[in-house]
Amino acid sequence: MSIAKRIRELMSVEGCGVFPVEEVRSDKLLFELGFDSLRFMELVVLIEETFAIAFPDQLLEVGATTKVSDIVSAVEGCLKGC
Amino acid sequence: MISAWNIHSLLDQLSRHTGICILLPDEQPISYQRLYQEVVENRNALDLLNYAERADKQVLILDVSIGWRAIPVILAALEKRIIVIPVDSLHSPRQMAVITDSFPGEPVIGDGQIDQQGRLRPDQIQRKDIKYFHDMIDVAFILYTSGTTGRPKGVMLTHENIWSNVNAILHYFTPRQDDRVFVIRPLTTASAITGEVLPSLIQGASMYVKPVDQQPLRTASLMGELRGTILCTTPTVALHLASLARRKSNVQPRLLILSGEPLRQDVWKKIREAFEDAEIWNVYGLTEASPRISCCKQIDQAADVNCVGRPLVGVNVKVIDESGETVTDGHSGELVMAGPNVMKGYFNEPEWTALKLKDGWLHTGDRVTMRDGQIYVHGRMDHMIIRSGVNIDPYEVEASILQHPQVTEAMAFGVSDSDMRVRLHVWVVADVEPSDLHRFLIEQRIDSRLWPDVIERKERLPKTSSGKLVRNASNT
Repeated sequence: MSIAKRIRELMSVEGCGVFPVEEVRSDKLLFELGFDSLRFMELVVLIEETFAIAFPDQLLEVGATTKVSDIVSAVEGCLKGC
Repeated sequence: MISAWNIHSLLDQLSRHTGICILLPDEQPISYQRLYQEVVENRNALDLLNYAERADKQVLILDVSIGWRAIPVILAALEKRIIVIPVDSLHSPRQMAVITDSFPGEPVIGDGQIDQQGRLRPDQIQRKDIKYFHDMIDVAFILYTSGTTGRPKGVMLTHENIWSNVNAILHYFTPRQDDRVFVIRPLTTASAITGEVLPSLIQGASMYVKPVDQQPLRTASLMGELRGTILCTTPTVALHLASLARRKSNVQPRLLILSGEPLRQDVWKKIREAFEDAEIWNVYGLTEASPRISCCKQIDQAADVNCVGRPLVGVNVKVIDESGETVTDGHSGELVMAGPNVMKGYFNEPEWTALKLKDGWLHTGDRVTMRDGQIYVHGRMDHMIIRSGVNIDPYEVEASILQHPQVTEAMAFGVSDSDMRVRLHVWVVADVEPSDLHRFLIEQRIDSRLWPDVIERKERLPKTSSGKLVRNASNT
């Protein structure tokens, strides 16, 4: 399974999100998917456990414009750098 | 013996403190001397704005999304005896709208009205039809909490409430001048104001005040960079931070103060493992008690995680059964308390006040037992849901979701899950998919504290023969 697909699963109702995985598209904002600060904390922990990585510090500061694709790129970059 | 602090002695102390008051990442910190100057300037600005000191009280609606800059405004307002109403435009825009509607003509003092130094900008503040609140003598703050029918309740806390609680807190919590206190709860909460900011200012400690738009995990990372020594937060947030602390060796506070929700044994164990060098306290209170009621400084055995310690100085407590009779040690019942920290009442809600305050006793709604003078908290007597330390009235969630035209009935409740968290569930009778309802709440800008974790469609909701919802049936 691709990294992007796995992350979308984690962000869906199958992970710690509230929407079906088909609605977790890469152009969606985290806010649109119901990620407030607490749910985002859950996501970070889930991603760290799933991929055995340390989530990059600069991405701990998600903003109103952070998209699913930003999270995917960050994790991919992190895995390449490991 | 600790002297009795009030706003005047605090400001006097502020003028004499040296060192850093506010820590800022990537910026020069704010010294105590400078903070004191900002308070003096704000006092003058409030005079210019006709907030005259008088017994007929006036309100100042303060948007705390400005972060630490709210502090010099709060202190100046406390000295001028102006009632502060903190609001959070970022996380609770709906709640803010309800509050501002209650005070027509009063401006919201926020980013445009306060400069980067924390000084009020009188030229940017327009006050129309100044209203005086003659029945709010001595009120210092109105703090809003989750209320029924979508309407938040304004808890009126007097100056005596606040300062008696600060003085009682200082009997057990005395941050040092070399401490760096991380204030991550919003300044809309009594915990942050009375429990963290005011004691830290009195003691001359340094503080980092989390901007409201900053993610808690980023704050944790900053704890390492800024060498934070004291963190006050909820068990749920501490649990999340635990995973970060494990890989960042410099995120190691000397003291972790937990409050806001019952502490679970499995949660406590994880927190204990992650913050192995920290003292961990479990403190208890509620906004209506300004907020602090008790503190447990030794959670040595996992079996005692429900213990929140002995009542603070001046606080009387008892445990009562359904008929109002005091129960004996070891028996469970509702905690009621009396003392100088008990709120004046709810703003414009005499019926609610009468339900909560009876003969001077505040009915907390918390189910507890007492053993050897110590309080053990087990949960709620009512249907209030506590998710991550935030109290959520199920009626408020239901009112939000019932705004959708295709929802005919709704019932909200909390479920404690295997992931050591409380989830907000909602059962609905509706002609619409759950994902559409999640989207509706987000798009309608319903405050995120009311967003459900799980929405399920049902044919019908469980009811009594008289048609009343059976809430207990689902709350397991």
